[in-house]
Amino acid sequence: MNFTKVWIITKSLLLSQLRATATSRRGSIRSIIRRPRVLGMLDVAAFVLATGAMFYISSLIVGTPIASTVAEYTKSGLVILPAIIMSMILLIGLIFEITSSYQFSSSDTANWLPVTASEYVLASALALVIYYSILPIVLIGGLMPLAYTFGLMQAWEYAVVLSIFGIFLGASVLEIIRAVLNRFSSSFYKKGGQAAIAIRAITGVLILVVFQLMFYPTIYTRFIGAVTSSFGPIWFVPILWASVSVAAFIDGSALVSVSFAMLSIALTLLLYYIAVVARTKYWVPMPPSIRISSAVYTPKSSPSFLGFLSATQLAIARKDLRGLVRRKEMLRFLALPGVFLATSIFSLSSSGGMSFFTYFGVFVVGISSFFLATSSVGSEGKAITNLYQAPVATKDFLIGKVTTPSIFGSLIGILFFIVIGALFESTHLAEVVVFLAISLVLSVELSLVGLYIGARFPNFSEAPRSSYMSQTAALIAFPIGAILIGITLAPLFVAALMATGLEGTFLAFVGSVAVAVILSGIFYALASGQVRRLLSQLPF
Amino acid sequence: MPVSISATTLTKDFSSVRALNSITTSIEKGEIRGLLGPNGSGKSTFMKILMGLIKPDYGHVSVEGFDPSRDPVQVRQLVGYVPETPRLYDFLTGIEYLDFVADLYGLAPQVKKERIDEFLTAFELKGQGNDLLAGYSQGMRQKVALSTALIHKPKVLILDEALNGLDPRSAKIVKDTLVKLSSDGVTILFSTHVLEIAQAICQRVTILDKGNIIAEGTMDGLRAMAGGSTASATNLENIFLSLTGSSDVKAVVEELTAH
Repeated sequence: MNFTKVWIITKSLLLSQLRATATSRRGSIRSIIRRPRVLGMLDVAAFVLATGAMFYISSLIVGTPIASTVAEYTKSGLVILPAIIMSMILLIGLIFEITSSYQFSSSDTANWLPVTASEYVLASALALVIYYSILPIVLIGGLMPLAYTFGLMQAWEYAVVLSIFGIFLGASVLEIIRAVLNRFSSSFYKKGGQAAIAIRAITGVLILVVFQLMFYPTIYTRFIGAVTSSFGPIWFVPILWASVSVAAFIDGSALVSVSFAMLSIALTLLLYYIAVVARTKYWVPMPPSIRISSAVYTPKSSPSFLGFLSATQLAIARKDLRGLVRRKEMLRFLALPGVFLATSIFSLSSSGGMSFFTYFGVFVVGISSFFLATSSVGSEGKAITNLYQAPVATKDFLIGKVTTPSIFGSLIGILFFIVIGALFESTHLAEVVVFLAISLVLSVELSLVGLYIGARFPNFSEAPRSSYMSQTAALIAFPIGAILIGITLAPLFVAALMATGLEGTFLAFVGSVAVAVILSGIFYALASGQVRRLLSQLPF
Repeated sequence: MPVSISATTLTKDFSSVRALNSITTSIEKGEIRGLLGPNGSGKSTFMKILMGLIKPDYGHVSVEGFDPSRDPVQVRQLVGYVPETPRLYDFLTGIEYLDFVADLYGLAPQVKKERIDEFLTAFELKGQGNDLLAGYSQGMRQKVALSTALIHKPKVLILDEALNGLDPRSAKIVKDTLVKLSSDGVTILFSTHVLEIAQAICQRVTILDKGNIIAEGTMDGLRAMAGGSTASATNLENIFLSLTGSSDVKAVVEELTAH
């Protein structure tokens, strides 16, 4: 392996990713966060800030009655650090990274330059790790002062080293998913029909959900916890080997610690090897040629439930819906609700029960609509020119673009609450109906919010590592979405806390709907203005 | 003849680069106007301003009486446009894409069906109409892009190197279609680097260089401008090279092939 070449590819992928979020009309670079060096400086700043803040907090804790409890939590934190960082990289990669379009899979220069699979996979993993380095660095930096305060500094150093392998383990898994998704997408070459498209979408979603679950530590700890009262058999789970090693290190069991560290490193190398094999075997840069239908063309008429949309609005919505189920790079949005719900099922405490599920279900509906809407403008890429050169008015663009995420969120809500309704039918049917209704309203509200953010911070760049919104939007999107969902659900939260009964829940429902309508109105106006500005001239 | 497109002192800067420098020109209804110029001369910028895709920094343009920067939707309803590099939605089939564009123009279902069938037949895409655009060759994509520009029977056609990648049969169909549309009163602004095509179908030619109009007129007018009736000024290629100061081609080739 030529490491100079690996570093050159890493830099080019990193630059592609950094600048994909920020190129201006003339290609000049406006934002500060465009160079890997600046990313490194941000990492240092984040480390110093996290360390400083936790040093201050540690100094307040020392000598207080809670010190021993915090020391125990610090030990636990160090033990789970490698697993947490690995699953963090995996989840972020799944949401933002895992798919790139056919166009750039095939035009990626690595396809025709003299680059081996092992060099590319290592470079790709390195680029991903460096790009998202700030999150592990904050965790690692935050734990250091606590470890220092409670005499666990050596354990911290040990956990950090194993966490670095954890990061590469996560990145290697992402490379495996990339290759597998590419292979199965391309396997539809010259096969087709609506059924093939549906199978492709469903299989893609399943692959993403299953991989996420396979490398989600909480599932294993809960499973083992359910089987035995202690976590003794945890050594049986490969992705937790690093954690076992750190725990043994803290307990002073050197042999166990070294053995599991070796196993953990071997696992990372094995997964890297599998990623290289997967890329060598499965990488197919050719875009698939799919025949959707052999039927004679007949113009489509509007579905009756969408009869209130104009032809233009419906055309945009229909096009986006087709894109959602047909585009490989959109699979993550289809998979997102499944990932959230599947991991939540394994994470929630048994006492959460029905209430947790209903609130979490509404949250998933809102956040799914929201993320789809935030990407709906940027995901057009340069093809958005089609909407500029046709007579599309602001209102048509806005309503057309909001329709798909609203429908998507609503469908998730309906499916989810049908299942919940079936599970809790006898005691909570009224509650299920209330939550279903609010989730439908919320999907429209969050679609409008998402469209505003998507139109305000679009990223149309088409590069091997581009995303659909700017880096700023990627950072602020989730908190904004979560806060607005919280505000909308606040009346229902209050009613639940006060145990107001069904009548109180109904009143709270009316309150939540009123909040949703007001917020929808505000964000409709904001999104209108933003779309008007966006459509005033080509953004690239 | 009434004027269809006019530009007055049109100026556009991109950072420190002046893409268009006080351009003034007008195109009559039903005219086929060739827009020529070296790479980066401002042809695409001029066309994008006419479409309302970018705004001029100074000056005024009018397309069929509408200002594209003020009334872009009205202008786009009347104009068919093929950009230099058409970007299609790869996840749609050829038919779905045409259907989508026809809906954006508000065509009635029956009209849509007839027009789509016509274009699929004319460009020999009938067998591939239900294939995803991701699998189309460059020439097939260009045919689809041309179809979308013509599908709503526009009053003005703006074609930015629209014959790129077309096979000879399709190129001939497009050229003949343009001549026919012109005789029906459709105004056509047509940029190309294939000077034989411009010579064959354009009634007038505008040559841009570094954002300035360096020549404009009929073939005879340009010939006179480039050196009268000398042998070197007989065809558009020689006129173009002479006017744009690019007549050092032979020396460049010798330099490139020297050992």
